[in-house]
Amino acid sequence: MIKIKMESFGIYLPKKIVTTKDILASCRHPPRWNFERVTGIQKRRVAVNEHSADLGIKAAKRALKMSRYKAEELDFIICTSISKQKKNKFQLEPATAMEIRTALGAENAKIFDITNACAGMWAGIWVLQGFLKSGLAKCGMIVSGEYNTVITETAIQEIKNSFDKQIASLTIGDAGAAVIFDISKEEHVGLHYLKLITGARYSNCCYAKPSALGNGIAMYTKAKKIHEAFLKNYPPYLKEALDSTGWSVDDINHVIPHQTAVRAIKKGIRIFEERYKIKSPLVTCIVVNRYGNTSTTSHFIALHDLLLQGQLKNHQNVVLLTGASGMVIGTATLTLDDLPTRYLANSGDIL
Amino acid sequence: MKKRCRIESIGISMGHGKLFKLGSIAHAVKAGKQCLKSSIYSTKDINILINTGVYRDQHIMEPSIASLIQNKLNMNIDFHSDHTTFSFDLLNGSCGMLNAIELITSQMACNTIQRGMVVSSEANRDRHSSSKFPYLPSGVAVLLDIASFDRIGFGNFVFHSHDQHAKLYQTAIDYIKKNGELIFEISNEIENYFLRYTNATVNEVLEKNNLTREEIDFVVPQQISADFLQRLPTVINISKDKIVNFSSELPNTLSTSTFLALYYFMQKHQPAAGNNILLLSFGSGITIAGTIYQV
Repeated sequence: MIKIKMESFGIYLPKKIVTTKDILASCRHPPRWNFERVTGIQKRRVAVNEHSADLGIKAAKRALKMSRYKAEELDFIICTSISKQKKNKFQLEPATAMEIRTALGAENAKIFDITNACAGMWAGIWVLQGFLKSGLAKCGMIVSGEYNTVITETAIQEIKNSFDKQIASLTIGDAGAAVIFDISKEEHVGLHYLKLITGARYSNCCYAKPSALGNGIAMYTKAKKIHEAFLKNYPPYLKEALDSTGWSVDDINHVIPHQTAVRAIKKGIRIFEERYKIKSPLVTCIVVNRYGNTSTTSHFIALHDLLLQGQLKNHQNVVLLTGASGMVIGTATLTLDDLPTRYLANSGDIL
Repeated sequence: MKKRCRIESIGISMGHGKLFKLGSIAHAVKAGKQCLKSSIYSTKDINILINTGVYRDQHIMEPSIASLIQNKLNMNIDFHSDHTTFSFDLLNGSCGMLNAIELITSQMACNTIQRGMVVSSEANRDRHSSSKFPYLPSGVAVLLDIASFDRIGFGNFVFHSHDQHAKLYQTAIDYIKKNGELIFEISNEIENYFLRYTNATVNEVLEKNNLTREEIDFVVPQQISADFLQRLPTVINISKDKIVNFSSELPNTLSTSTFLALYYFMQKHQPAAGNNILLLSFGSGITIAGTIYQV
C-alpha cells in the first residue's frame, strides 16, 4: 500500500516570552480561580512586528533547509492558518499560501488555503495525501503561521468575569510550522493511518470573529462543552487508529495530542487508558505549559520539542490526536524515517 | 483506468429571502438542500463537504463555515454513527471550487471517498454601510461521485498563478472596526490582467486533456462582466458562439459564478453526451484556473 511520509518539517517560535502571570496582570477582570494551576500554562511565545504569514514563511524556510526538495520542486503549498492577520487586517484574498509561495520562490506550486480550526494542518495533510497517492503531486508543503496574540489582547480587554467565554483566549500562543510530505519508499515508514471526522452537532461550541466592541478579534468558547464532547467521543477513534495500523499500545513510542491545557490532556489520556484497561501508561508529550496552545501548529511544536530533548528517535512510532472546533476529531499513526537525525543536524539556528 | 469525478447534481440559491436578506451560510444551505433534492444520494452518503465561499456571516474565522453548513444540512452530524462526514473550508478566491473538485477527484482516485459535496456562497453581511460589496448574493452546491464511464466527468485541472500581480486584487477585514469591516482593493485594470494570461491557461488545459480547440463544444467562464465576456473569444481563439454568456442576467458572483453559469447552461441548453465543456475561473493571486468537463 502506498504511504506518504514526513520528509521534512520546520517550526518558528518568536523570541519574546510572555508569562501567564503577565497576561493575568493585564486583564481588567482576571479570573478569580487559579488559571495557571488549572491550565498548567506558564508561558507562551508572542510575535512582535511579525504577522501570520511571516511566521509561516520562517517555518517554511526551515523545512526547506532540511528537505531534499527545492522550493521550485514543491507541487503544492497549502496554508492552513486560522489567523490571517496583517497590520490589523484579516486577509481574505488572495490566499495566504500565495504570499508564502512568493516568499519561497516556489513558482511551480499550486496553492490554496484550508481552514479547519486547530485541525487545519491535519486537514491539509489529508488533502495532500490524496494528491500524492493519486500521482498528482510528488511532494507538497503544509504550512501555518498562527499570530494568535490578537485574540489574547481582545480577551484582556473584554473578559468580564471568571467564567467568561473568552477565558480560553488566554491560553494561546504564537508559532509557525511547516511540513513537507512525499511518497514513502519503505513500507514500514510513513503515515499509516489518518482519519478526520466532523461532528457538526458541536459546531457552535467555539467562534472567532471581529469583536462587537472594536477591540480586535474575539474568540468565544464553550470550553466545558467542547472538552466533554471530545473526551466522550475520541477514545474509540484512537482505538480504531491503533487497530487499523496493527499496533498495540506497546508499539507506541509517543502520543502527541493537540496542546490545549495540561490537565485536559492528562485527563483525556487517562480516560482512554481506563476505558481500554491499559496497564502501562502512554508516553504523552505535553509542551503546552511552555508554548501555550499554538492552534494548528501545536503538534509540530511538540515534535520539535521532543526532538530537541532527544526523546524522539529515528524509526519511532508516533500517535497524533487532533481536536478542534467544528467539532473535528482526528487520529493519525506515523513511523518516522531518519528525520530526527536530519532535524538535529539542521537545527543549529533554532537551538 | 483512472477514476473520474462527475457532477451528479447541482443546486443553486440566488437573490434575497422573502423577509430578510440571506447570509452566506443560508445561501449555501439552500443550494445544498436543492442539490440533495435532485440527487439520488442523501446526506448520509456524503463523505466530504468543502465550503469555498470567501465572504462569511459575521466575518467568522473559526470554526469552519463548512461545519456550520454541515450542521444545518443535518449531514452526519454525530460521531460514531454508521456514516460520517469530514468538512472544512478551502479558500482561493474565485478558483476555490475548482481547487476543491480537483481535491475530491484525487481522493476518489485513491479510494478514500466515494462522494463529496462542494458548496460556495457569497453574501454581504457587513454591518458597515460603507462596505462596497461588489457581488450579487448567491450560493451553489455541487454533488460529485465517481463516473461510471471512462472520459465522462472532470479531466485534468490547470491553475496558473501570477503572484507578481497579487496586489491588484486584495480584500480583507479591518478587525479594529466594531464587528469588522470589509475592505476591497481591486484594480480597475484587473480584467485586462486576467485576459492577458488566459490563453496560456487554456493552451495548457487543452494539452493536458489531449484536446484541440475544435473539440471544445462550449466554454463556461466565470461571468466577470459583459465586456470581459465579449473580449474573451478573441483572446482564447475560440468562436464567440461557444462562449456561455449570461452576463445580462447573471452578474459576477465570485466563487459561485462559474458553476452558477454551468447550472443555467445545463438547464437551458442541455448539452449532448460527450460534449466537452471548458470551465474557466479568474481569481485573486492572480490565478486563472481551468478544466474540462465532459458531459
